[in-house]
Amino acid sequence: MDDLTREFLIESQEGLDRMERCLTDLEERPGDTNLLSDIFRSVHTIKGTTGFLGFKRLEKLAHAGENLLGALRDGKLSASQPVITGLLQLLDALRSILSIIESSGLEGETDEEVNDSELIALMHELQHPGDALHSATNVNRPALVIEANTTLTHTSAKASPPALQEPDTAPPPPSQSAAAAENDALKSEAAETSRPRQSAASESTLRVDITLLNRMMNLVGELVLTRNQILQATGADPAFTMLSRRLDMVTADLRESVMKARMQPVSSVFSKFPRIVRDLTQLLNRRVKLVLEGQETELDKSLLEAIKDPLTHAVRNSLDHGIEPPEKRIALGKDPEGTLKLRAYQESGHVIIEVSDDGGGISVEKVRDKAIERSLITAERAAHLSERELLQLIFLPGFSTAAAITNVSGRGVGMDVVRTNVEKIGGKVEIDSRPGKGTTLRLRIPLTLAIIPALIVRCLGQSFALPQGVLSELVHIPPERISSAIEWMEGAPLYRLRGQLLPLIFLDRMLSERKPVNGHAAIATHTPDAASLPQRDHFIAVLDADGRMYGLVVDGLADPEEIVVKPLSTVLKSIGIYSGATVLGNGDLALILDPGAIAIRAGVSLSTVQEDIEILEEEEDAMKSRFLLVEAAQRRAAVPLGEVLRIERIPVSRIEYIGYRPVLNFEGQLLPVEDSAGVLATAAANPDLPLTIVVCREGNRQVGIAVGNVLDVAAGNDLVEAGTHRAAAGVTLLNDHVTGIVDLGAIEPLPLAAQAASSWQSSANSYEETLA
Amino acid sequence: MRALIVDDSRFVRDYLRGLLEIKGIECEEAADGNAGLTQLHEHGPFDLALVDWNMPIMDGLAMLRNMRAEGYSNVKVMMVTTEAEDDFITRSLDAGADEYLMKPFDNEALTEKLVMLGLAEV
Repeated sequence: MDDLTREFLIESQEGLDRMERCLTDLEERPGDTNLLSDIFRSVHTIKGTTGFLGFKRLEKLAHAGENLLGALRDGKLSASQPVITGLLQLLDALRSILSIIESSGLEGETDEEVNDSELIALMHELQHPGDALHSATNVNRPALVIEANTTLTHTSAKASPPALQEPDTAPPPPSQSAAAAENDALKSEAAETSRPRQSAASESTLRVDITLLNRMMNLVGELVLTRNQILQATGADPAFTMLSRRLDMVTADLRESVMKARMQPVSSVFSKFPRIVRDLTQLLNRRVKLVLEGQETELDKSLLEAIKDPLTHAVRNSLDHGIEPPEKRIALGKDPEGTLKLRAYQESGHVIIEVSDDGGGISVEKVRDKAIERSLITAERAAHLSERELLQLIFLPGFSTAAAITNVSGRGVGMDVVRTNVEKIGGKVEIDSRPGKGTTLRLRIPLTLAIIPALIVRCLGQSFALPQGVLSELVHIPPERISSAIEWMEGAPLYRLRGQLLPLIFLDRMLSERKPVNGHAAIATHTPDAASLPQRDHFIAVLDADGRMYGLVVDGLADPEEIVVKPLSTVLKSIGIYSGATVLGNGDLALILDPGAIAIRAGVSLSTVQEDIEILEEEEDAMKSRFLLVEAAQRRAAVPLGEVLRIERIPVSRIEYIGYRPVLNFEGQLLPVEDSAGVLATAAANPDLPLTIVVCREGNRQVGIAVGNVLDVAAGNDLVEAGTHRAAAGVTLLNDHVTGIVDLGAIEPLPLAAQAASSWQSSANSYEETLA
Repeated sequence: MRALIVDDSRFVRDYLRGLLEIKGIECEEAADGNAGLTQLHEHGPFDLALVDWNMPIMDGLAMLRNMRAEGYSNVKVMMVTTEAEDDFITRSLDAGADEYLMKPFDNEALTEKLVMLGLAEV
C-alpha cells in the first residue's frame, strides 16, 4: 500500500471516530449546528478524498450520507432518533470498508454492494421522509431498516415538513455518480503513478509506525541489560565508576522517553463508550448519563488495547445488571437517569481505571445462592464467608449473576474473563459494591509491559525469573526441618502455612518431567515422597496466579531485578510453562516462569481457592489478635500483624526530613516515620548498621515505624481492666508480658504539600527506586 | 514560485504538494482558513493560494474575503472544492478568487488551471 492510501485511511478513520463522538453528542443537543457541521465535514472529506483513489463503494456511501447531512446542517431536517441510527449504520459501513481496504488494498466484494444500495436508499428515505411509504414496499430490506422507516414517518415527518416541499434537492441517482467515480478512478490512477512521494511534516507532531516504536523499546531494553552488566562489572576505578553512573542515568532517561512515546491518553479507549452506552441504553431501556474523567491519563498503547475488552464488559455489566430501569429508579426515589462513570488516574506507578455506577449494587445473597447453585462453593462454606469475600466469588469461572441470559452481557463471558485479561497484563481487579448505592470495579494496570519487576530464583543450577506481581511471600525451610515441614497427602506435597494447606510444586521435578507424548500424562522420573528430598535449604515462593494459590519450591533465591521481557522462540513456547526470556544483570540468560501455566500443568485446581477463602477468613480473624513484637530503646511494643505490610532494612541515610518530621521514600510514596523511641538518633550514630522500619497500613495511608529489632510474632490475649469487664485499650498480653500496642492512628499525617509533591513524582521515584 | 495549500484534509495537502513540487513549486500548508492567513502573514510572499471551501474554524470563502480585504491582491487564489453548486463558484469569484478546481482532480486538470493563471506552461 502506498503512503498516500495509508494517509487516506488514517485520516478517514480519524474522521469517523470524530463523527461517532459527535453523533452521540448530537442526541443530547439535536440542534447544535457546530456538531452538524463537524459531522458533515467528516463525511464530506471522505467523499472528497476517496475520489482521488477511486474507491467507488466508499464514494457512493459517503455521497449519500453527505446529502442527508447537508439537509440536517441546513436545518431542512431535524436530527431524530431514526436519522441518528441511520447515520450510525452508515458510519459502521464506512468503517468496515476502510478496514477491508486496510487489509487488502481493495474495497471488497461486489455482492456487498447490495447492502450498500440498501443503505443508500435508507439515507435517501431519511432525507425525504415522504418517499418512504412508496419505496419501502418495493425493496426487500432488512427488518431494522424498515423499523427505522416506520418510526421515521411518525416522528420526523411532523418535525420537519420543509424537507417534503423540496423535491428539487434530491441526490443524483446512484448510477450516475458511479459512472463519474469510475472516470475519476481512471484519471487519478494515472496521476498516482507519475508522482513521487513527498512528506508533509509541517506540524509539530509526527506519526511514527508502531513497529518502529516497538523496536526502539526493544533496543532500549538491550541497553538496560548492558547497563545492568556494566554496573555489576564496575570495579574500584573511580573514573569508570563515574562513567557507568552517567550511563546509568542516561539509560534511565532514555528508557523513560521511549516509554512516554508509546503512551496514549486513555481517551482513545474511553471515546468508544458514548456509542456503546447509547446503543445499550436504547436496547435495555435505561436512562444513563455517561461521565468520563481523567481522559488525559496516559497508558502504554499495547496495554490500552488489552483493557478495551475488559472495560467494555464492565460497562455492559453496569448497564445490564447495575443501573435499574427508569421506572424502578423513580420508585426507589432515585434520579430516573442513572450515572455511569469511567475514571482514570495514576497512582504510584499504576494507572487505575474505575467503572462505577449508581445502580442497585450487587446482591451478596444472590451471589452466594448462585455460587452454591453452580456448585462453586458449598452452603456451609458460604455461611462462613464475609460479605466482601462473597463478592469476590463473581470472579470465579462459571459464575454469572444474570437472572436471565440477555444478549448484552449474558454470553457465557463472566467477570472471570475480565480478571484473567487484566491479570494477563500484570494488572489487578477489585470490586466494591453497596446494595442500593452502586458498584465500582477498579482495574489496576501497570504503566508498561516491556519491563517488569521479577524475583530471580535458582533451580537445577539455572536462573529463572518469577514476576513479582503474583508473588505473595517467601518461606525458607532449613535442612533440619525439611521432613517435618512438608506433609504428603496421597503423594501430593503440602505445606502448612499459618494453618492453611498450601499445595506445593517442586520446580526441579516439573523441569525434569518428560514431555507428554500423544496426550498421555507426563511421567515423573521418580516417585515423590518425603525420603527422596535432599537435606538442604528449600525455599517456597508462595504464588497467587489467576486465583490458584500454591507454593513453588526452588533451590535458591537471588535478587529481585527489573527484567526486560523478550519473546520466546517457538520451541520454548511449546513447553508451555514459560512466558518469555530475559538477560540478567550478571549476563546469565533466564526464562520467565508463567505461574498460571505451571499451576494448571501441575493440576492445582481452583477448588482449593474456596478452601483458601475460608481459611483466610479464619486467618484474618486470628490476625487481629496477632502482633509483631518489636523492641525499641529497650522497650517492647506490639504492632497489629494484620496491618504490617513489610519490614524494611535500610541504611539510615535513606531517612529524609520534612521540617522536623522524618519521612521515608518507599516505593515512590512518602511515609511518615514514627520514632517515639528515638531509634533514629541512635542509628545516626552508627550509620553502618541497617535501620529497621516496619511499614504498616493505617486506614488508606501507609506509615513507617522505626524500631530497634523485630523480636517475634505472637498471639496476644485481651486484657480486662480489673472490675470493669472492659478490654483495656492499647495493651495486650504477649508471651505473658503486658505490652503496649502502637497506636497507628495517632501518627500524624504529613503536611499536605509534601504529599502532593510525592504523588506528582511518584512514578519517576518508584522507577529510580527499583533501578537502584 | 511559492504556493500555500489550505485544506483540512492531510491527504489533499499531501496530494497537492506532490503535484506542485514536481513542477518546482515550493509549498507551505495550513489546515484551516485562519491558519492560512497566519501563513500568509508570517511565511509570505506567496504567488498562489489553493484554498478548500469547507474547513473548520474559518472556511475558504471567509479566508478569501479576509485576504483580499487585507490587501493580498497579488496572490492568485484557486478555490479547491467538491461543491458542485454554481452558487459557490460565483460567490467565490465575486469575492476575488482567480480560479477554481473541482475534486477529485488529476495532474492534467491542475496544470490546465495553473496555465490559465499564467503560473505554468503547457
